[in-house]
Amino acid sequence: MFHSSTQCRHWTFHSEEELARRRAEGNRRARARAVASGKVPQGDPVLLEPHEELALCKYYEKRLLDFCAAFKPSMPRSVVGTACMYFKRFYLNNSVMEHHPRIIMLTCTFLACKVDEFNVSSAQFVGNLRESPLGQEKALEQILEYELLLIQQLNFHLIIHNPYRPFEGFLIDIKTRYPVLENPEVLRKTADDFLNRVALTDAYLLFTPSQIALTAILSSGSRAGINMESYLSESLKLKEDRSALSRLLDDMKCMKNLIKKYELPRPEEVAALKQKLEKCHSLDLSFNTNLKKRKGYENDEYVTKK
Amino acid sequence: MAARRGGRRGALWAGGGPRPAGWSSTWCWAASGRARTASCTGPSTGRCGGDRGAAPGPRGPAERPLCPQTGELVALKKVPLRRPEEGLPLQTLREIKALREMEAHPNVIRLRAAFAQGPAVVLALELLVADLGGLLRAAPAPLPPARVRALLAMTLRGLGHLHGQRLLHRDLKPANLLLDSAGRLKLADFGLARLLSPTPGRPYSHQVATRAAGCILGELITLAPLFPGDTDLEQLCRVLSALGTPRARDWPELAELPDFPKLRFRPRAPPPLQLLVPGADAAALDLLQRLLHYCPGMRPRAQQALLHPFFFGPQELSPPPAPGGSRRNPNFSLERALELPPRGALGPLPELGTPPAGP
Repeated sequence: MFHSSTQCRHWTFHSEEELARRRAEGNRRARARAVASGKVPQGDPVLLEPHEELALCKYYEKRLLDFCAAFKPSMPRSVVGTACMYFKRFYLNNSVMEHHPRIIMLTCTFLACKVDEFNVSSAQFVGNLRESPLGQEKALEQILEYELLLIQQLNFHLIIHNPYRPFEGFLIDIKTRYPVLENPEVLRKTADDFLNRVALTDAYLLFTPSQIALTAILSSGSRAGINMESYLSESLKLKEDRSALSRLLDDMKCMKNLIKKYELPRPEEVAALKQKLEKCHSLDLSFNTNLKKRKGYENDEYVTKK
Repeated sequence: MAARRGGRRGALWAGGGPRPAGWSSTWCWAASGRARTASCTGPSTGRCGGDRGAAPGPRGPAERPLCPQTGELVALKKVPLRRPEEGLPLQTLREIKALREMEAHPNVIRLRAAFAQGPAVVLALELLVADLGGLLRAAPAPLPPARVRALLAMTLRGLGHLHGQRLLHRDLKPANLLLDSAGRLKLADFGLARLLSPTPGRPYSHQVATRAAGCILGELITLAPLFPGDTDLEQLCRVLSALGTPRARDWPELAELPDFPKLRFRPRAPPPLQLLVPGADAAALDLLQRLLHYCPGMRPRAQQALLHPFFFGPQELSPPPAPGGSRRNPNFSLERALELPPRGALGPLPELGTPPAGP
């Protein structure tokens, strides 16, 4: 049930400003740590600005979706949605300067496969990378190193509610209770398209899955020249609750705006940012103490086994 | 309650039953009473998870007390990565997933905190002193009906709560039903738990779980497993000989099951259920009949089952026996645990036809 879920209680935010604030805070923390470590002089332009981080996140999120789309065996949509959501949640509080988005993106996908019970072995998983066997092995090593950190950063909230199930639910509801629409299946293609595009925006962090699904259906309807407001007011009984209806319509408008506003950073911009990112990482700003702990711990395990 | 009194640290026991390959959890008692707070290095933020302040250092968490903000005793379940190339085991993920998502319920174990310790995850769970498996093994005589009623009611209440949240436990058995010191029962071990989703071709519903509740009811009454089988096939034979072969009119969907055509059984009428559970009264037999119905759709859901007349009557909670059974040895080792007598060795089924033992 969504309303008692951790997604609803902890990961659905009130406004875009709140998201921006959290990201800026993550950026600030990373900068402060970098300066404190003495590796970067204060005010050095080597560090990334919040908007640059966001652009890189967008770029890698798109790459995550591309990776999933090309994945063999083909990946269920819910797994893709879950991976995407993990990625968004992770960089809400963390900085790309400390944790490289390329590896986080793979770790998110790897974890999503496991959590959503899409069973692929780790070898199969990295087999999908266009890399040499050695590169694949290295990627796997990194993924496993980051897995725990990712889970921690997700605050152990692993269940993701995607809009795909409510979407099917609304279609069934329309088929049974909304005879005005003769063949609701005509809405599917455009609505799918909407869901794919909205997945790239922050909508997942701002709205409930059923709001997103309903917006997909209504926007698909309006594209096809079908006004479905009577579905909201009659079938969903919203005419009795004017304020709820207007809130819903506002949210829908906001979602459409998010899609309209969304743009992928230009390739040359990405290239420049990537250079900057690599420079950050060459300074070894990562504060992943986990890795150090891991080493000591392994030794201990070894000793106790003996 | 030795664990609480003595604050014994490092006294270990294993979660019941053999584990799937790759899964080996170590449970331990961790004393973390208020008196110890000073020596604790537990999470300071008071938030579940993400507790990076938790006890760093070379020794494993089994060796040190943990103190969540409540200062209560917790059981630490440390899950080392046995197959490092696959990362965190699925069972652990399922357990975290289920327990983090679920709202609190008196009959479901609570996850107090989860944190990473090197390449292992540690789950801090509510500390419970016994399990139903141990209680049944240690019981010298059949449990009084009021106690059976209470234990089954608590199982079903916990189940009903899970199902209300669309979760399936999928590994219900007495060893996974833990008891606190007052005798309150809580569902535990969510290593196989799954979210209910309509996966085509895999019919698995709430009513599958209530069948397990039926098996547990049988075991509560007879103190022995209803259908002790070491293999799937043996189990199937036991069920068929006890309940008769299912008829098409009882279970129309039977023929559609994927493995149905692979096996043929001579049709056989069910012997009276009373022979399977000597000692059960009429209401218990009726409930058992319903819970064990072959067709999942015909079985009551947990909440419906709770309304059965079987539950009309006094219910009695009593403290479980002092930690014993599989946990008698404080110097528990996993190796030894794996050689514990297997499930079937709990004792033979009571001879069919023994007169019902009165309460």
